[in-house]
Parts: sequence; structure tokens; C-alpha cells
Amino acid sequence: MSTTVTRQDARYDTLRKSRNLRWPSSGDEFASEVDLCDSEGDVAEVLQRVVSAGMRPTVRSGGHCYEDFVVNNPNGAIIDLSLLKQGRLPDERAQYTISAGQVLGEVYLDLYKRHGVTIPAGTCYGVGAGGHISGGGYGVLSRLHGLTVDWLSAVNILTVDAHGKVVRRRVSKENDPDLFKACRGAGGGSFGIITSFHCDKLPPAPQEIVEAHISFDWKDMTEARFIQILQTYGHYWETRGKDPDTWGLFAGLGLSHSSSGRLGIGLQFCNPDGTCKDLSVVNEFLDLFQHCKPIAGAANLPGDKKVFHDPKAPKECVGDHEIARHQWLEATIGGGGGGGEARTKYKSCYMKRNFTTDEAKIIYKRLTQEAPGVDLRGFVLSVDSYGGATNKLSLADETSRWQRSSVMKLQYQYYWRNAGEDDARLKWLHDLYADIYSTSNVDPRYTSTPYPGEYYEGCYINYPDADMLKYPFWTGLYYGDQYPFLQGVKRKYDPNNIFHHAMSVRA
Amino acid sequence: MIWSRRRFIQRVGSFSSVGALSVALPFETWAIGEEAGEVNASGSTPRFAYVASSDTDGGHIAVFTVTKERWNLVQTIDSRSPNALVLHPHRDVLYVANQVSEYEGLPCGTVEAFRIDAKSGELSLLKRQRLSLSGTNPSCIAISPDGRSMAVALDGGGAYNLLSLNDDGVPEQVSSIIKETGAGLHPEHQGSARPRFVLFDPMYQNLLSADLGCDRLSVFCVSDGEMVRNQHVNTVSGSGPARLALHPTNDVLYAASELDGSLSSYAYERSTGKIGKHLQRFAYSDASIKALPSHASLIVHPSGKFLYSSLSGSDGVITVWGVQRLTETLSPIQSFKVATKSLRGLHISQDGSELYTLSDVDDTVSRISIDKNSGELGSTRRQVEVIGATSIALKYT
Repeated sequence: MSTTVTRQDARYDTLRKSRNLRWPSSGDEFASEVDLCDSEGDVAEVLQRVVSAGMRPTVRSGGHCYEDFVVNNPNGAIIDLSLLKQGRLPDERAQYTISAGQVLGEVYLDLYKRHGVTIPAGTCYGVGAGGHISGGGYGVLSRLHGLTVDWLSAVNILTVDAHGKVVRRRVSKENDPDLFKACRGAGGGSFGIITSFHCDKLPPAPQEIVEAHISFDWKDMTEARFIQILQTYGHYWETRGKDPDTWGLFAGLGLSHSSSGRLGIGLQFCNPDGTCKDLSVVNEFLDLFQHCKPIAGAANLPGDKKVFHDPKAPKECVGDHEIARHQWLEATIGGGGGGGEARTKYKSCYMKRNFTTDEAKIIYKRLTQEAPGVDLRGFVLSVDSYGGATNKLSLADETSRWQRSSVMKLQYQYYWRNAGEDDARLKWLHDLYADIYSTSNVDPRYTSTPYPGEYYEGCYINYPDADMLKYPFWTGLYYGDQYPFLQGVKRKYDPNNIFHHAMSVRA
Repeated sequence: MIWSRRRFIQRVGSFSSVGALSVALPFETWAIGEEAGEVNASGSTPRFAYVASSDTDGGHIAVFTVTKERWNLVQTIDSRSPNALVLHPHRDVLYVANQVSEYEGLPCGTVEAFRIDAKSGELSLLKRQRLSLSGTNPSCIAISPDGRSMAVALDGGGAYNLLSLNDDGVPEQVSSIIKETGAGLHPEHQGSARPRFVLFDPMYQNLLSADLGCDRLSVFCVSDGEMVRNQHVNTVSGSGPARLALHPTNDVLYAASELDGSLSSYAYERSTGKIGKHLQRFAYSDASIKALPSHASLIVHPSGKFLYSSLSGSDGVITVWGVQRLTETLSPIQSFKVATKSLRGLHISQDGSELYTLSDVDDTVSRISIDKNSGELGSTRRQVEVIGATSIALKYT
């Protein structure tokens, strides 16, 4: 039974919002209603009513969309799937089912306790499965097991046909294979409403993991040392990180502004068999940074994921390095994550190569410069390891997650509270990003962006950045050369463009 | 043809008269189903004429001052692919629908509002307002009789937008959106909803619309910045309704369809704001229209005695219809061949003495005399040449 929350309802002011407090940007953008659905039948019924009434439906599972794609919906309806939990029940046609309304923490717990398996998804456990998985779904196990969409065998999705009728579909390699492929990585809000994901097979959850942290004090930092840290890190993923015995190693380099104190590296590791019996890979990796004179312990960066720095965790040593050992479920669920509410802005980049000296110099310069009137302590550039199992080239065709050659994935994150600071902070981040992607690495036609080429592989659709819309080639950044295919799927399954947002696939 | 700003040429004055050419009416006719009074002639000659022109450079509006015989170009002003012009009913503001699918990277069309200098007629941009997300390629604008609302048909977006107009006639943000769904017989033209035309009932705040994509006429009730669907009426399957006109007495609605070249009339119940009985339908039997439809145009003479149509596939023929009020039927009076194959628009002077035609094929605005008694069209004058002309608006006061 669905519940419709309208402006008269006391819950409306809470439910109409995004977790990113920048959205909705004004009262004119508020949705008319939020429809809370707790079954696929509910979703179909509500969607039919909304479409027949001429309203625009947008879809929310966890509410973490970085841009305004969901909650800026003037007079429209937000179809909220967060009560849709029936995916936990066994589906007779698939071994494992994940509801679009589950948050990742629930999914991990559910799959682990029922089956001892997991998905290689994200570390923010309050993020909804619907949006996360439809855009690819990656996390700390992705180098070991690939992307979540790589494991899908079927998807339940509601589409709207040319005559405005809601159609319930179960798409797979056999049924509507084009739509199934599109649902495997092209992001949410373009084709229909995904209500559940199905997998015939999933990887076993690791038995245990180890984590470790090193950090570097900005007080002692020099440009040369900064470049050395970045290039040591990048070189590893470009070279040794491609060897399968390292695929269980996931690391994040957090680059904060100098006013924040430290920058740091956090890692999680398990051997391919899900144990931590052999930690030589960890030792080898941490050894690489010894000449950079690290400090033990985490940097405590904005937006940090707790999985990487539980200060109370018991420590042990491997070689010269301090590590903490955890059971996998405890490490995965215990950290929480997903963040509270803040005003935020994000950008992204897939990197195919190590940082060049020019890039590292620009980053250093920007992170050591003050910007008058702008508090830069809320900024962090997360440089996540990538590659490993995510780079199986055959999956670039089988799924719509086309970036399969990258060794690092960058997420630019900026957090603040005061709306009056929006313009200055957004401009600072915009300029930083444009600067970094204006070196000789970038074809002049695509300057200011990490357009796919020798060094870069575009941007992640789950980290959408509407700033990129100003470039006529923005679809190449997010959808690559699969865009024409996706446009065909759009025309076929959503001929009236019912599902749309600023960066959705356009017919 | 590739147009460019360089080809934007004004040619003022008399051109050769095409003249009247009576031909047999090419219709099959089916019957499906008082006079409106004297013309209130407040002036036969407009003061200013505005012609929208769309070309590869984007487009512009040409501003002319008008004397009895001559149009003098006084200004061209940039506009983004202008597709339809309409004047505010009592303010000096001209509105433009921009046939674009993107604005600042977002998938949406725009409308523009230009202030009209009361003395010179010249335009200055007041505002460019974006339409709703996915509301691309606006095809038509209508301003409510009270001048407080603007309705926009979004051919590309399958939607209608309603915008409030402030005291100066400047459009504000979109206040109401209706997203349509539907499809028709001809997938190449009717794969999705395509709202093509909107028209306010001048007596009530009802908005009438034609949707080419799903063969549908609709009525929306407009109030307090909101638009609520009141009625859907399906037209003949595959017809593709694209133009509407209301009889001055507001009790008969005419609809021209582009995919079958048809003209239909419907009873319009003005008190309830509902489209009633389908009264009459005329249609070409030419199947080729569906493959290559052309624009349809439709306008009722201010006297209410005559209707002028240029239907899709009519090959440059304007049909003059007599309006029989007692029987609520149309009967053809004259077929008038003009020099061009496709007419983009028809416009009748305020006193009903002249019909202006607009062609985007031979790039002309022509003026044809109307016999006020018989309704028949007579001498033709090529008034001005405007490359890529798409729409015209005439300002009288």
C-alpha cells in the first residue's frame, strides 16, 4: 500500500529534500508529492497514476543523488522506493535478489547472513541500491570482484510505453537484452524504475580484512614530496597493481587542503581467497611510501569513510607497518557511512595513467593556496584505486559501464553548511578541476575535462556534475561511445521521455 | 536550402500579382454531424509588423513599420530559432517561442519576451526564460485573455508549460507542467506525444490544444498559475491535429490536421469548457501527405462568416469556407492558388480586408485582398521577402 505525502502532510518538508542540502534549489522546484511505495505493485500503480496525470516522476531509493535530478521536480512526484524491501525474499528465478529500496548496509547484512556472499559495492552504507547499482556500483572489493553490475543476471524494471501504459519487465540477456545492458551501468533516471536486481551468482564475502593508514603532515610538505607521494601511489596502480595477487588491495589517497592538517592513504586488503594469511602485498605497498616519511594513523579527512580509520581497532604489525585486522562483516557494516546532510558538490575522473608532474604540481599549488573568503577545509580529493577485476574488457560490451581501462578513480568532494558560501566554493572547485584538466594531457578540443583518451576515461555517472553540461561533448565524458546505443534504448523503451533529468540519456 | 544572415534581404514594394485561380476542390467530404456580427474595424493597417526568421545562424526578428502599401525594415534583432510569435493583448510585449532543444546545456527550450518601443516599434530583449526540463522545441505560445498567463506547446518535449506574466508582461518561471503520453498510427511522426498548438478560449480561462503525435485535442482549465486537464478528445486515428481556431462566438472549434490534410469542426461548449460533437470533417485522400506532411494553417475571418485554411498537402491552395451558422457547417467557397507550395501561416488584418500569408519556401510575406461580402480572395501583393520566415505578428495600436 503506497502512501502519498503532499504539502499538507507534516512529513513533506522532510521528505521533499535531498541529502545534499543544495537541492531543491528553491520553493519553485519542490515536487507536489512524495509517494512511498512498499511493493513493486505499488510502484506500478503510483507510476501509472502519475503518468496519467501528466506529472513528471522522479525516483529515489536512498536519496544520495549528487545533483538535483530527483528532488528538483516542480509539481512532479518523487517515487520513493526506500520502503521497498521485498527484494529480501527469495526470488524463485534467481539465487539472490536485491531490492532497489534497500540501502547498501542492509544488502551486505542480508546477503552475508543468508548466503555468505556479497556484492562489490560502495562503502557508504546508507546509499540506496537502486541508484548505486544502476550506475555501476563499485567499492573496496571491486578490484577483486569487479563492479556490482558485472554480477547481474536480471533486473525488474517498470517502463512506460508509447501510449502511456506502465509495463512491468524482467530484463536479462534473454529478455529485452538491450534494456538489460542499459540497466547495467548507465545510471538511474533514463529508462524506467528499477525495482530489483537479481544475480545467479555472487562472490563469497571475505572472511576477514586488514586495514592500514598512513598520513603526511602538510606542515612538512614540499612540492617535491607531494609529487613523490602522488606518483608513487599512481605508479603502483599503473604497474604492480595490475597483478592479480594485488587485486584484494584497495586504497584511497585523500588529498585535502593544507589548512586541514594532513593528507593520507587508507587501505583495505584481503587475499583473493578471502583471508588475510599473506600480507606481503600490504607490506610491499606501504614500504613504497617510507621515503615520503609518513605518520602512522589516518588523516581524518572530510567525508572520510569510517571503514578506513577506526581508531579503537586493535593494531598489529606487518613488517614496519601497523595494521588492524577485522572480520569482514564487522569492517563493512560497523563503519556506517553515507554521511549526514550537508551542502555538497562533487566531480570525478577515471585515470588510465599515473599522475604527471604537471598535474601533481597544479594540485599542490591549489591545495597550498588560500582563497580569500573561502574555507577550504571541507574539500578532499579522493584518489581511489581502480582496475583489477573491473578492467575485464569483455564487460565493457556486456554492460553499459564502459570505463574498463582505468587504474585510479578520482572523486572531488566539497562539503559545507552555509548557503551563502555556495558561489565561492563552487567556483573554487570548478576552477581547480578545469586547471587540472588543462595540461598537455588533454586534447585542446576537450580542455578543462578528463575526456577519454590516453590519460583519462571520462567521468562516473554516479558522481554526476552538471557543470559538465556546458560542454557539447559531455555525453562522451559519462556515456562514452555507448551513447548512441543508449539513445536507441531510450527511444525504444521510453518513447515519451517520461524519465529524464539534466544528464539523462536524451533521445 | 542553407540560409544565412547574409541572405536576409528585404524587398519592399509591389511584386507581380499572382492573382486568383479557381480550381476544383480536391476534397472528399463527409458530414459528421447566424452570423457573428459586423467587423469592428479599428484600423485596417497595422502600425508594425514582426516577422520571425530562422536560419543556420540561429535566427532573428525583422521589425517593419507599415504604411498602406509599404513595409519598411527598421530593425533586425537576434532571436534563437524563432518559431512562433504572439503579442500581449494589451501591453507592448512580443513573445517568441524558440525552437531549440537545449539551453545552457539543459534539455529544454526557451521563450523570449521583447519590449516594443511604442513609437518606433523596435524590440529590446526583456527576458529569455527557460522552459521545463525536457520541454524542448516549443511550437506555439498563447497568452491568456487577461494577459496574466502564457501557455506553451512543446512539440519536442511532449508537454505543455504554463508561465505567469508579471505586471510588465515578463514571463516568470514555469508554474505548471502537463506531460503528455501517447502515440499514433505513423511512427515516423507519431512515436510520442507532440503538442503543436495552444489557444485560449477568449471568454474563459480554458486552454485548448492540438497534439499531432497522439491524435488528440485537449482542454485545460487554467487558474492561479495551475493548469488542470479538463478533457481529452481523440481525433481520427493518424490525422495529426496541428492547428486550431475558434469561431468568434466561441461555440465552434476548427482543427486542421497535418498528417491527413483534414479539417474538422467541433461544437465547443463554452460554459463548461468542453469540446462537444464532431460536426464535420473534410480530408484529402492523398496518402502521400503522411510521408511528407506540410504545415497547416487556419484562421477565421473576424466577421465569423468565413474560414481560411491552408491544409497539409494542399500544394499552395488556400481554401475559403463559408460558415453556415444555422447548420453549423462549412461549405467551400473558393480555392485560391498561391505561388508557393507550403504556407507557414495565415493572418487576417484587424478589419478583415486583407489576408497575409507567410511562406518559408519562397521566403515571402504576401498580402491578399479579401472581399468582405463574399469572403473571396483577390489581388495578391508580395509584400516583403524574409528568408526562412516562420511566423508573423501585426501590431495595430
